[in-house]
Amino acid sequence: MNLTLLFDVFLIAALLLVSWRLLGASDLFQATVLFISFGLFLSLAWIRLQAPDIALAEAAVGAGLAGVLLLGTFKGLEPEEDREGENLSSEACRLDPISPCPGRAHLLLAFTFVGSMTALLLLAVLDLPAEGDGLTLLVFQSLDRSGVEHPVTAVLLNFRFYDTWLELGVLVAAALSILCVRNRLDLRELRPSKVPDVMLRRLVMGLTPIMILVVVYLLWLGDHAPGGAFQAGVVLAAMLILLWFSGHASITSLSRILWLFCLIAGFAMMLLAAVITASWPEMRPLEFAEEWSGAIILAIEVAATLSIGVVLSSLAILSLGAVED
Amino acid sequence: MEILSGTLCLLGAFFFMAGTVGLIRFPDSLSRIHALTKADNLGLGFIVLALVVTSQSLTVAFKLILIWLLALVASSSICFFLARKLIHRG
Repeated sequence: MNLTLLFDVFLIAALLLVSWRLLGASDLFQATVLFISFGLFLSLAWIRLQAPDIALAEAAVGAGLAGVLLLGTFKGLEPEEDREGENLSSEACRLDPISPCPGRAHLLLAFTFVGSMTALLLLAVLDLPAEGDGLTLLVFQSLDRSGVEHPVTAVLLNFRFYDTWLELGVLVAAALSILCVRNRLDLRELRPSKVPDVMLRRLVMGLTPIMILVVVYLLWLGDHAPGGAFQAGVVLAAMLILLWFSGHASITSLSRILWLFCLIAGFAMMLLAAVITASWPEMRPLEFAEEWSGAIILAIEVAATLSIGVVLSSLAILSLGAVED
Repeated sequence: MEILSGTLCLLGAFFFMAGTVGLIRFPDSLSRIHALTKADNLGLGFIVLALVVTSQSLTVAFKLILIWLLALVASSSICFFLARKLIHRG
């Protein structure tokens, strides 16, 4: 039997098993940990499907950042006595301690919804043309006019620029809505719930230069290999969260104006590019001139990395942090 | 070279296996952390060595060793944090 096939079968079995356990878990903490491992298995699956860009994003966002956000939410849901570390029983963390078994109507509704979604997905997959690889040929044909060498980056920041622009808009909207929920104007005065210790401070201090190196490397790599603004932004976010968590200066020490500037830099840069190309004579909106496109894309990627890093770390800090009394 | 890297891979897999058995079989959290960090770091080391032996260029080998060192730093510090938390609680 083929070894890679065996690995794929194991991977699919692991994905199914983890998702089954995840849905069946009664303990929220267990469910969170299972969700993180599900994300890691999923990124392995993306690698097997030869999509390293998505695999990187899935590992960083799906497993890493979503895990941090879920753990932060979990801490917020924890009853008071658990915070002291005295009673770590699993029952206390249930969302629905009174009626643990959902009623039949719930189950029926859920099954109908999931069933119709699955049917729709199946129909969509069956609707795809049996042969041919979609737009791949078109992308490779126009790759040398895009300003970058990596097809994924070319699609994200040139051919389908509009989508990426709106994604950054979604990130800004998410940051603003969590500000509303927390009833805050900025991140200042938000502190980690525990006093950071010397060991962690030293460790983060040692790791920070390496993380900056990785951010720049990933950003630069986007030009010709899997990498780019999203991956670099997530590493930047991790660095900012770690710096904040260990008591170093991080985005919480930025002034409000500077923080807001970082928050919208990526979206604003893309808006600027859109306005300039729209008002330029002899050019359609969002169409980059060939000789400039490389530079434009690099500038947008730098701004987008900054924004993604700041937005994602703000989300985590807003959900983990507490105001000192 | 092939045989050497295969042997190193198997050695690494053996240590990973030992670590996993420890994780499942050991009675308390402290010894579980011990099993995971010690045995798995060694296992990762052997697998990195196996990849270094078969790697074509010096840069790739250097990067692999760097990855191992980073994993060592990360896992031993996390081990320390977990263990201290456990001791303070217990």
